[in-house]
Amino acid sequence: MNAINAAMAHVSTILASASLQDLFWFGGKSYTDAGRQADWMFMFIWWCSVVAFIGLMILMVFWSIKYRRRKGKAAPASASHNTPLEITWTIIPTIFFFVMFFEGFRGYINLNYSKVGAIEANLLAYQWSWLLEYPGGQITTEAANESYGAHVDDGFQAFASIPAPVWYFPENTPVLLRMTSRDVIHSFWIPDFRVKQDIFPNRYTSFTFVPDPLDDTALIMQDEELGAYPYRDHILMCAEYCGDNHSEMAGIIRIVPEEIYEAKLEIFGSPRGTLAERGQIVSQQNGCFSCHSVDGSSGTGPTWKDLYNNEHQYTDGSTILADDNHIRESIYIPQAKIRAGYPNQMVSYQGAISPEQLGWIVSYMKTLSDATPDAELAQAQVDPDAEAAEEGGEGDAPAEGSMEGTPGDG
Amino acid sequence: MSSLDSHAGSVPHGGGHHGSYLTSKGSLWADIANWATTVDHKKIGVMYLTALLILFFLGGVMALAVRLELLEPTRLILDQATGQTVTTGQRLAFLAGDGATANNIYNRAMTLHGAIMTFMFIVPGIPASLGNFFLPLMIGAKDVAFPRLNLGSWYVYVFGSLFALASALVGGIDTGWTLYTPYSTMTDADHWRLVAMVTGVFIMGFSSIMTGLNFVVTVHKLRAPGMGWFDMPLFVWAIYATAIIQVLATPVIGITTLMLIFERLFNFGLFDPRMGGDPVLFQHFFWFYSHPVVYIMILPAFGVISETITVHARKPIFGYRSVAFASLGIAAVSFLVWGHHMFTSQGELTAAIFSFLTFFVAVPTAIKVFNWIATLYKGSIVFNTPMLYTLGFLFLFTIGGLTGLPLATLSTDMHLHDSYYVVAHFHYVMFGGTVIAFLAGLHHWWPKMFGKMYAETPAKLGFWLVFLGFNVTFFIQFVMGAHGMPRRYASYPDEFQWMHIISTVGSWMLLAGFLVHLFTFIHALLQGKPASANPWGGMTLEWQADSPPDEHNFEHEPIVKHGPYAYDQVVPPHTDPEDYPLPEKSNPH
Repeated sequence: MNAINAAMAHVSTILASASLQDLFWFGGKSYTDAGRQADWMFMFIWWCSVVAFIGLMILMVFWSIKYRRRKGKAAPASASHNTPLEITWTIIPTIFFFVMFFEGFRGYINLNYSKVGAIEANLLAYQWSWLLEYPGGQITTEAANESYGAHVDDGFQAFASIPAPVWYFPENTPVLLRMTSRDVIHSFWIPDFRVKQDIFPNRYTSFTFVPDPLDDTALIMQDEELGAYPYRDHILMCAEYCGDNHSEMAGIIRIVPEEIYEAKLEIFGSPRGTLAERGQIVSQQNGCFSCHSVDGSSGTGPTWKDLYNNEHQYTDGSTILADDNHIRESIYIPQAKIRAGYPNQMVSYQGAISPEQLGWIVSYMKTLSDATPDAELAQAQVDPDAEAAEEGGEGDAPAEGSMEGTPGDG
Repeated sequence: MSSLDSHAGSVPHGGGHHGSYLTSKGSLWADIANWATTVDHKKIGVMYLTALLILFFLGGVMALAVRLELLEPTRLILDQATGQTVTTGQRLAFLAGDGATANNIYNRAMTLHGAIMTFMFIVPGIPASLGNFFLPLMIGAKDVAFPRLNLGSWYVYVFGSLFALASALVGGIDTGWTLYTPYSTMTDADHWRLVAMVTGVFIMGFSSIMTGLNFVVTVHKLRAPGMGWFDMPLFVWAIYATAIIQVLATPVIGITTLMLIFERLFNFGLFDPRMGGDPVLFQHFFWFYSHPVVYIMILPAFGVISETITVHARKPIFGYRSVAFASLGIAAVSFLVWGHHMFTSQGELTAAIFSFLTFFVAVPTAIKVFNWIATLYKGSIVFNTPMLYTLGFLFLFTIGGLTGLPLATLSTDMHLHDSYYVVAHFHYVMFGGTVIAFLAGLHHWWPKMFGKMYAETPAKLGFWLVFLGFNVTFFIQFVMGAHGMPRRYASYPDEFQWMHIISTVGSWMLLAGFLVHLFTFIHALLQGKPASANPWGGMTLEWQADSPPDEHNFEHEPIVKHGPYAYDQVVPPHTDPEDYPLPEKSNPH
């Protein structure tokens, strides 16, 4: 299953079938009533502007050619001002501007005021991901890989996918997000809904939308547990510059039928699986993969591939074995030891990741490394003179261990 | 007939006369000492021009790096030497030292491009170079009111730029040129890079205030006898309106940068939520300066266009007074609209108020465009490089202005804010407006400044490359933004790649255009034909001075007897009446 690729294919079909106007102007189809109102406003301004621009340019080009300089011939005398004309061309644009202001304000109110009976969820933004808590306290456990350069010339591929959390919401139901930030200013933008709102560390802001019902353009998801159901994906992105991985701070809003939404919340509410699987989910929920890859490729932080139980170089020149306690320290007090070649940028997750969850993450990291204590023991029994496990490479190979499997094409 | 009867109708002066401000003092060292200590506004203007062009080159290199980076969603480039893939960021790693990721380096390049182009190039830009050179000439003065202050402002500007460039050399900052808190107070363990950059901005602010103060006093006190306020050329009006904003608004950026430095070094907590501060307060401070500064950038461009369009269409400007008052009106309203940069970060009432006020800036701006186009009517229009740039300005600036309307309108700005649409809009205004007008003015006044003509044909080629390259680079960015591409993204979803490729190819066309202009300017200095005193038949006072002007500008203090654009009343000075006949109706003969 690769939902995002399907979504991208969806985008291409929209582009292919769109009129020229849709392609070149307001960002394709809008999926809320308020969004369509904003589109109408944009197209109103756009056509006013086109008429004004073409009129002015025709005059400019026509006069430039008609009154081009001819040797020895003076320009005919003409008026240097014309008060009625000047008053006219002041008043007409002013009237248009008033219309734009009032209509724009009305549309803005529609975009920003929530409807009665909204699903109220909390959203915490942080460098560089999002944590969304549903009214019942559930947190999504799903992520989709957003494709950033899946197709690169010469078959080279790296950093091909950005794991983005997937949030389910029911169709045609108002949603109200109460948003705040853990660190710097972020901004929550869903282009398909035509609205964005900044998120601050010192106060709450809100974001509201009523997604359209699913229609026959909806895609069909084949789910092992829930069967086939229609859905529609909307990409969201951070729009306020927030540092290194600003451009990887994405997410997916997935609009599904009401009963699927309820079923998904049920699933999110009951943690299952092995410790390592839970660790993977907790890492995803806390945005670890914005900086740390699991396939050996280099990111803002060191890769988790072969991190566990190997020795690494640190900026103070020391070499430390990344054992359980080192990982605990690096998550709770990240500035204590900085890996050589990496900036001191991680913030403490003390309080954000519980001791229980920390144990799951360590279990998960263990599965990403060949150098577990078990492996050493086993090797020592076969060959007592064995050296320490070899260092992990920095290969270009695409992610084998990444969350949902990356598109394997080149 | 003309105000200077002794010159009227005489054969124009050639180059190579005595006493030009460019005349060598003998040895190279004497020349250097002479220029370094000069109080001549013309030399200071040329010194500013040189420094500005160097910084424009550096900012342009950063822009090319940014565009190159965005060619691929994942920033991959095949290294031809080793066959390995490397990111553009890795190629630029020397900028940032150890531990920098590709995104981090992109963010530094993007910040440097913005900081250099705004604080160091386009804010001082036209007023400091062309304004310094031509303001005194156009009002018939020997120099500005405070010549030493003028020289001081150049040294302060260079000193401030060195601070900022030092910050870049030790790694640069990754905050974006807007320096928003709390990111700017949290990023980079090393305080000094940020502090050096911000200190540079603080210092350059003084240069801006000195220049503004100087120009205000000069316009009030040093106009030639007979020159009333409404006999001033519109370039002087524009520089005057700009100077008022410089004096009133620049102290605010001084205060803001100081607060940022204190916040960063001593944890003042003004903008820190953990200490009860408010990060949005910084945005208010920042835009209270940085919105008026947009008009510091564009008003002088309006002034240049008012000059070039009248001279090369040989027509009085249409609606002189409304153009002059529009400059002052824009300057006044510019202080009331800073909040339109923050529609997504403030309450509904403030957003509504600022949206309403913003439309009031649009009115005088629209009036100016109408006036310029009406000036062409029944003119005598010549298509040389300055005029091509002038028409290019009208084309690009009109797009820039009209695409600003959906950003002032609240419901559409909710979608377009912080997207590539905004990037395209302000490049159409700042580049399509100010830089294009700068090039129009530079070609227009080049013969006067250096006494040499540039070669017209290659200069026109440069114009077409710049004009087409600009549109290829930036027009597609409107589409990109409307389709959901956010600003300041080092990497991006695949669907945007085809648009980024078009944009990057356009940036290479721009590079080619600027290289052609570099060639024509150097060629003009070395081998250009000597320029006459008034090669275009201009009516304003600077065309009565020699080319290049005498050290004291004029042999006699000029006396003004007609308006700056009286093409229907008098033959331009230093020109042949055969070549520049008067219109039939008002011809006194």
